[in-house]
Amino acid sequence: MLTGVVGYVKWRYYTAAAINGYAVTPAAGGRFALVATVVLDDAFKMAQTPLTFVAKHAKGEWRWPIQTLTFDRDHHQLTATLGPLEGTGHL
Amino acid sequence: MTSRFVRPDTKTLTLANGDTLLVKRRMNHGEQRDAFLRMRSNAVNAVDAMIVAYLLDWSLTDDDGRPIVIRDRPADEVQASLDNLDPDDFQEIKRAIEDHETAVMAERDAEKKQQGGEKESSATSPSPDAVAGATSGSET
Repeated sequence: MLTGVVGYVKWRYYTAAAINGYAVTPAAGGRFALVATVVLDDAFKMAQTPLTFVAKHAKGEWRWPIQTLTFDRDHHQLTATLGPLEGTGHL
Repeated sequence: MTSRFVRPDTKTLTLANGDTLLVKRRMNHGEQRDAFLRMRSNAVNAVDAMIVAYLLDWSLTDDDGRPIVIRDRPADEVQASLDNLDPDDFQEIKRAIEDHETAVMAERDAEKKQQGGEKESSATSPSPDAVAGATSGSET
């Protein structure tokens, strides 16, 4: 499991949501499951595709394509299915 | 039907020495408003506000070859990087982005004219009177 604090949901270059606290766990078929706490969101951008989850780390960032997304705005909770890690990044 | 929303498309502009700028293709209403607000609240001039609003990333490095990171940085940090440019280099970046904006506006004008032309020339269904005959009035 990968946990962290700073993350974003991006729609191309736009930030669709700012995340403060997330956990990424491996799932079946090379996918990952994301649970995150959203602190800021743009409802229009969150409804667009393609969306990417970006997790910042000391030497850069990890990026996953978001395949499915559920956002409980009332409780600031986001759950998503992520595709394979993009680029040559390693966890 | 054409969407009325701005897509987050980008374009890479290449400067004389091969440095590149990654810019938004177009700004949406919110970005234009925010640029205007920056001008008013931060005493930023219109040129700087426009450049910061368009600029997403670049390949510029410092004298030691280290990238000057502006991607995903706040507007004030991007402005600080611009402020430290050689004036001639700033002007080159300014011209590149202004030319890009002019070109995109011209594309948009051409698209709108074409859409307007298609609407004028599209076939319209005949009015009900033409089909069924006028029904106003009464027979005597």
